[in-house]
Amino acid sequence: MLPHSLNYQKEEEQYSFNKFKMATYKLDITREHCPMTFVKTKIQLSKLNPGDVLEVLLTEGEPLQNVPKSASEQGFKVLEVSHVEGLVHKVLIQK
Amino acid sequence: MGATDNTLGIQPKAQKKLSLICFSGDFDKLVATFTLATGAAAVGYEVNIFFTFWGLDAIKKKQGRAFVGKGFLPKLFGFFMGGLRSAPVSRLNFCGISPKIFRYMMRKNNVATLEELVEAAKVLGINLYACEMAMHILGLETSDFIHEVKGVLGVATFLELSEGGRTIFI
Repeated sequence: MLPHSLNYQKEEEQYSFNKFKMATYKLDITREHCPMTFVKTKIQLSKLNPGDVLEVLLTEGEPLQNVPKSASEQGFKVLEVSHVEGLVHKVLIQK
Repeated sequence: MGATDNTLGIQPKAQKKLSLICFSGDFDKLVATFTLATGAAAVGYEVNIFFTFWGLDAIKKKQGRAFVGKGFLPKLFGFFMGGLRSAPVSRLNFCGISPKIFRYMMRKNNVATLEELVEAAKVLGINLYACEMAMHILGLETSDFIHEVKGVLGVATFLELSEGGRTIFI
């Protein structure tokens, strides 16, 4: 069982593109600090099925610099990094 | 001891390795140990933590003060050392009030508490090991530890495990 603090609310939307049905999950780590920014992203990514996409909302600085970098180093595909508003950015990571 | 309960089935790629020697049982130093460990595991490192002496407090099953240990003196030490929830801070402990204040400040500032970091370490499949010699002195047995502890090691095995990676003593 996951501890309560590491249990995420799953927001799932079914997308149909490239002939495959893929789920998109959302994770907001804008209020998190090191190391939970990485920890929550890693745990959420590990729960996805191959092909699923994780939309991560994060802030500038360490999370923006290193969350996409560490994800791609671990073999995940970073599809998009875009600015949302203020200090918040959105990163799309595919498993 | 049972195998590490890696509930998410995360398989670290084992290309990079971090081994931590957790000697201190102080609250602040345990936070440092588990912050480094979970952060490294989350970015793909294989992480080993070797708990020795006061550090063994962090992996005791009983998290508060309890007469843990075999024999009179170990039981007495076990009681005064306490467990994870009784860990003092290394400076300005103020008779045990400071850890409570720190926990409050950590929650208030949305920083992971020590307990959350330990839970994350278990979920991330970090390898936890206990020091055989320190266990012997403190009269502790493997059954006194949380089941995520992967095994009991001596120096030679730890050196073997940590070879090829970075080692930090806290």
